Amino acid sequence: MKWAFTQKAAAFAVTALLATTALAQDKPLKIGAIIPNTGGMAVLGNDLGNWYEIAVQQRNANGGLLGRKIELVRGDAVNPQEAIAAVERLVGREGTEIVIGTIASSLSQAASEAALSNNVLFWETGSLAKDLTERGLPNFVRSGPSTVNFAKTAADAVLNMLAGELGKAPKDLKVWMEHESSNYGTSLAEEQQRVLKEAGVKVERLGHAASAVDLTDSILRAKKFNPDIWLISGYVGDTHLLLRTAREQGFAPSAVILVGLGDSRETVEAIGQDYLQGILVVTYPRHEVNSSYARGADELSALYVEKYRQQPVGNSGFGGYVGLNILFNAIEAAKTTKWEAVVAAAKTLDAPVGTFANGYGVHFDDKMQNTRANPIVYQWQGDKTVAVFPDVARKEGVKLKSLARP
Amino acid sequence: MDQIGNIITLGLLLGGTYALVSVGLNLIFGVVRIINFAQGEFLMLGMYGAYFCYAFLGVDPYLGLLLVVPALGLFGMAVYALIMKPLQNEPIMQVFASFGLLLVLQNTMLAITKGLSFSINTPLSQEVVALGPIKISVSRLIVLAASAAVALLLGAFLNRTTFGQAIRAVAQDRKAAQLMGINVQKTYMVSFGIGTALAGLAGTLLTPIYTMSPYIGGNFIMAAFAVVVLGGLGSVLGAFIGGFIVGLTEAFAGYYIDPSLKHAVLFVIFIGVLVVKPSGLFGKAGAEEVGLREQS
Repeated sequence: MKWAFTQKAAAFAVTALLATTALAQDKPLKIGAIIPNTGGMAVLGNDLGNWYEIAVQQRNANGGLLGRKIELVRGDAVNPQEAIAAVERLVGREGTEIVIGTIASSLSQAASEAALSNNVLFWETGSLAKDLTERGLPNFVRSGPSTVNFAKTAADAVLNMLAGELGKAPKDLKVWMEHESSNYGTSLAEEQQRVLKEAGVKVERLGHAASAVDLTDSILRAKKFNPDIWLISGYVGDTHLLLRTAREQGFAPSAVILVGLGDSRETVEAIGQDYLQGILVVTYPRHEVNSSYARGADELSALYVEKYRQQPVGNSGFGGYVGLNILFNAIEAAKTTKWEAVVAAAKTLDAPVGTFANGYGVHFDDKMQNTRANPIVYQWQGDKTVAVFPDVARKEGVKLKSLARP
Repeated sequence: MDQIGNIITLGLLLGGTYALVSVGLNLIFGVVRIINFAQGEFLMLGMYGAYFCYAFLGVDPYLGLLLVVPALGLFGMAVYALIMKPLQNEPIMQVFASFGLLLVLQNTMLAITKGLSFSINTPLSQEVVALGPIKISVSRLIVLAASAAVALLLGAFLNRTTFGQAIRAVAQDRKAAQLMGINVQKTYMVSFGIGTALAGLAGTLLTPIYTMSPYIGGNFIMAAFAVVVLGGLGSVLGAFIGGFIVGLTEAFAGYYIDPSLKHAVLFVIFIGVLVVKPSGLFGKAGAEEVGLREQS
């Protein structure tokens, strides 16, 4: 009698376990995305969300992840408070197992801490602040570049492309770095200065408020220094004001590099295509890149246009597509969505630069920063920007055009 | 020596910008006694109005002001009638209301533009006049000329027209003016409208220089408040001269000290003037208290 009862109980338990497992496998794997859909970052936020959707759609078409269909749940946030509330809602009410995002470091910082409180992974694909990985948050991983990657790419371009182009040894080069004075611009400029000074380049650095009404004083000081290269790390408004003032004041260094922006319709509208010719822009890779470096980028851009009936807004959202694919690989390796296991699995990923559709590779350092997520350098040539550095990213037949300012 | 010439020129051009932005703010404060935090957003509306005229009607921004300035004037009068007038016995609430209006205007423009920024790049906006080693942007020169013209015309309007004298009378003593048969509410509404229209004028003339964002008004408003307080509350001449004091201070501090410290230097001077002469350089003693005293 007792044996029969035990047999029945065991059979019931096995049935229940199988049923639960089947249910779990039927249950979609929900990923929450913190992206601003309103406010000043809405355009970039929607673009990032669109790229996430394409990544999820493709993965689901190939069988999903861990045998489950992936479901993307968007959480709107335009400030840190809203980011925290969005994470609480996504995890607590929607049942998302992982949170991804964002396009702003302030959102990322708040959302990732809220994700840790909710015991889920936070996978950052876009925000740049160096501090995000420096603070040692254990559930935080960044698949995209940080300001350090941007600064290093800009400094590499100065040392390994422009020095030769200008016919000068690094020790004979003079670089003037102009940056907006918040954490973003300052951290970029400090890293650029460090790398360039180590190479013997003469460097001067000057900060300004992004809200400055006039920047003629900065231009006059730069003009007095008479640099070969002018490196600008700013936001949209102040970068445009600097370029306009430089044109007015006849400040024409041999080369101009804009870090982080300067390849959009907004810059053409503000400055004019003629003046932009030859200017270099350090940004995320997507368009006009060698197909052996960024495999499938053109096809994916075409897919985006077909799906959303518009061009991608910029290149940063595409990094979100790639970042989400790297996350899929980490989850597959971990065989679970538990953050400790995914972080451990991510550490084992190893792919060379040029593996993913925007040229990223994968190798996470101890702070879970992907060290193979590199921006590249474009140059304004005609009505578009084309990749010119590193050489492997440059399309066949593309040459660095004259750097001279009109 | 060349650099000194450049810095002085920069300071004067910047001063013209601040004077133009501040004169409407000062009029609203001096007459209607409202500390209008939304003045920067009125300027922002002027910029977007000029852009609208340029992009959709094909009108040059300098001609666009013929549409934008009256439109902003009417808008200002409507703001006074619908928001400020019902709160006229609650001066603190008027300040909060202007702050609320600031947020409404910023967020409405954000919703319309979806966060994209816009610029106007006409051939004139690229023109530069060279005086030896000193290079002067024509767009900024136009702003400087406009600030002088506005100060002169507004001064003449206030001193030589009947309505201008009514505005001055209301500014000096609202109750006495009312007893003399002046329609105080109409005077307030028109003054608010003129102050808003002047912000629209400033916005339109600044459009060829800056890339627009819904927050751009904030870039000007802190310095504009400093101009108003330094120059003297309610004084047109004070706003004009104060603009140049602020402009020259920023230019010298930006070049010789540090561009990121120029506002700090400015506000050290600002605090110093407040301590020594609370009514500002051209304000009448006690003017800073008049509004509160009258309404209490």
